[in-house]
Amino acid sequence: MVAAVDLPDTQQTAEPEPDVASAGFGEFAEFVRAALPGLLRYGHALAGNPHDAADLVQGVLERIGARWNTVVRRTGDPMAYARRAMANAHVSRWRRTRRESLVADLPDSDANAVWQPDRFGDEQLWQALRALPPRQRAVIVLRYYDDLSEAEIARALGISRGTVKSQANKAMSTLRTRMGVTEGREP
Amino acid sequence: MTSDEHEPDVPSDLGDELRRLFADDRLTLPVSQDAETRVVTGARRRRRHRRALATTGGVLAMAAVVLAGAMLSGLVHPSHQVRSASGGPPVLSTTAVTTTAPTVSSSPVPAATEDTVEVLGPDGVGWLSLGMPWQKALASGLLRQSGPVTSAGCLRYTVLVESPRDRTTEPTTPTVPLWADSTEIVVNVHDGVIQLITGPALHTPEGIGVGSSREDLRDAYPKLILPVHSGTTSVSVAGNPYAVYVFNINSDGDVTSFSLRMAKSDCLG
Repeated sequence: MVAAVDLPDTQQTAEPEPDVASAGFGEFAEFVRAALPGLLRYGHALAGNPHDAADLVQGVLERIGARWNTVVRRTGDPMAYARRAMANAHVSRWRRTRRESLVADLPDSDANAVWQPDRFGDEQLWQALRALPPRQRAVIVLRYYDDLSEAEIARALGISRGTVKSQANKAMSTLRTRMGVTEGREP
Repeated sequence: MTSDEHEPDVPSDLGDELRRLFADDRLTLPVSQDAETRVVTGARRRRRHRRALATTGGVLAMAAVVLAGAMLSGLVHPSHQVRSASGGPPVLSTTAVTTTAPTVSSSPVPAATEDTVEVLGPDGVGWLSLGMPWQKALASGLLRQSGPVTSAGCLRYTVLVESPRDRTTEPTTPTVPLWADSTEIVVNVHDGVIQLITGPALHTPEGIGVGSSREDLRDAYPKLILPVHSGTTSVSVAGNPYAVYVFNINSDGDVTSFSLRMAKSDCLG
């Protein structure tokens, strides 16, 4: 019975990960550590809430890690690649399974914590942004978070410049209407 | 491709407000302690899955899948001539299927790793390129015909991993390029090399290869239209307006094989 416990270990050591792969993951782990705060923040802007942000980031980073060397060699800028991949993942809404959260839960009792389930509360612009369809929201984030040009956004999302322009116009007009309406109706 | 023509800002403060919002501290999220471990573990699991597909199932399934893929993508395998309108005699219909299995399967070729993959495209790989004349490709001595000539003048070849005269070298340390492992080509006698069908050692410049997932494809080619279940799909090749990548995707959404082919040449005559 004791031997049965040892067996899995022996089998595992008999088939070690190649050195190349381990080295790749070491470097990848470093990238993850450095990139996570920025990517989670970016995901928050894209997805509109912490849980979907973590979901987006985890999916994209896992896929990048699985072929780390290729991504580094081909793109030269894994961070930019990760952001682009996140924008596309957000748009295509292929996040079927909700992952465990990468975001630490802060204790609710902490009086100084600004953390809330929705940290922006009922801030109008944030709420209006969250209500936009995914593609319009992605265009807005790429434009005003990433400061990308229309042409760059078109390339990043694989859509035409005309679509970028029309999506941006629609989004801005919706945002403006929502802001205006709610502001105007306030006593 | 100039990209610095920034749009004039929306003539309102809304743009500024959005920038302020995106710079807000409240957007920052606290990272959990084990986040890094979780991501790396997930990446490792995905890579293992990809490798398993690329090295075992992928190669074994290659003969079958490649044939199916070539037919779906408009190339007719010599043994499955479907063009009937020409009125030509039906071409041999029973051979070739078995001969398309990799002819070098007895020589152990190391599994492709991240560092040994090479790029297929935009024009070809190694000494092979799309449009290379038939005779020139043959002159390499590294091709073995794997099917009869079709009435449209198409032939299929397996690319030899080693030239026969090099066979005496130590098989575990091949001096030959790994990209040739399981690679096949289709030649049209008029147009030259019209399709390169790859083995597991090759990637597209965007990093897609055998074992890539549906999501990898989506990341790399936002414009790609993916089949709902299994099937084949193609996308234009950056830097080569005359070529397309054709991906064969199984029901799990993984790439089982892919090829670089001329967009306007096929084996339909």
